[in-house]
Amino acid sequence: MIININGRLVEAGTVGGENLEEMLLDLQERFIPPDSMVGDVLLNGVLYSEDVPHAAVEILRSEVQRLDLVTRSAEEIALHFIKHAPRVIEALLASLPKIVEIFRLGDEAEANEHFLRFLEPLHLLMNMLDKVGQVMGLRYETSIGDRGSLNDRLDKMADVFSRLLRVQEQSDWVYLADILEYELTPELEALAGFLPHLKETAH
Amino acid sequence: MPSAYSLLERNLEALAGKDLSLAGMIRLADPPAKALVVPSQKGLPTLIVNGVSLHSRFDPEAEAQAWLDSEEVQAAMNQGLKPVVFGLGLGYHVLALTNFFKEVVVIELEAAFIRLAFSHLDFSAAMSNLEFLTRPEPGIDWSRTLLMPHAPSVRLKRDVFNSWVSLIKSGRRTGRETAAQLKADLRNLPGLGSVLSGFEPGSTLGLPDLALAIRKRQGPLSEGEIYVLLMQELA
Repeated sequence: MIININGRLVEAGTVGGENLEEMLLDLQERFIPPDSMVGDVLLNGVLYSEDVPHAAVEILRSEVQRLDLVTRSAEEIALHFIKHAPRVIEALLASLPKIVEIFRLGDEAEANEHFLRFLEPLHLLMNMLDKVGQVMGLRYETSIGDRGSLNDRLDKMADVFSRLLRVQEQSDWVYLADILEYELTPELEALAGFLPHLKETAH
Repeated sequence: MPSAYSLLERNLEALAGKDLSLAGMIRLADPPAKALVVPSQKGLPTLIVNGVSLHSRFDPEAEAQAWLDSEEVQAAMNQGLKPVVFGLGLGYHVLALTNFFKEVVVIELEAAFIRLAFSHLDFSAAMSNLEFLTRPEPGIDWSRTLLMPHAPSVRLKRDVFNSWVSLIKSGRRTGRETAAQLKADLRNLPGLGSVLSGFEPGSTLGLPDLALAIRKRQGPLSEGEIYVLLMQELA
């Protein structure tokens, strides 16, 4: 196996992990400077990205003949995220009506599959927004017009997120649909409203 | 806003005009255990049973309107089928249906829940469109009907719902079996054991015999008994 980070070879035997996800985590933790992150991943010469979260778990170490990583600085990643965040939020908002409908009218097992697939990118979005603020030194506590501050919005989102998980544990699917439709949707829309300001401030 | 009592009386009066016996049963029913009616965000009452919402806690009327767009409802509208709704809840979805269907059958096994719904929503204007079933009744033609599950109600009583599904779809049993065989075949259905205990295990019996034994009983029916009566009706 050949492992290469920004053109520099890494001894494959020193990298832990039974699958691609574990290998990447180990590489990030032990071989990549703390102010950088993995940007591009080439797996066996082909650009790789996960179509669903944690898809890399399914790729066994034995299937990896060559792994090339290109890192980016945390700042580059943050700017990349700010640029693409509107589309991420748009995709999340577009997927919500279907999930709500199935929770209200259909099979809760199917609804939960969709819901879990929805939760992961939502969680990542919230984490990334947090990290972007730290990396770029942005002042999230500043109020922007009548929108309030981004901190307030993120706190509210975190509250909605934890209630979603609690209601899911209680198996109250109609109430979960309510929270998705009447609380999370407007919060995501409000968050999208902050992004142009974030972009301006970051640049 | 009319009081719960006056709404109940108005609804019972409307029902008594077509089903006096059921109206009487509902009037005498005790409140259902672990059922809580609370105001929704919009102010309309919503229902929570065993800690789980049966209607939206925000806007139960909007939710009912959205239900009209479901596949089953649209299929019934397009094919001219009579909707058979499993589960009343407080009745928002049922009332929404009555705006589009002249006849709606509502399967709600517990008179207590009908009383609860009657105490909170006004069914009087729609009562002529509604037929409530608390047990299988003879003479129902299931051929031009479409079973519409109210998902939260189904989740509460999935076994009962599954029984109704199989019965309404086909479920014709003919011939005679021993009481022991029937007990084995129908072992998943609660309540049937006690009916069959009235027969010798080796005695052969058919549906009519079982149905007769059940009809002679007093009191609310178990799921197994309902199953037998439905099967007898379909046979």
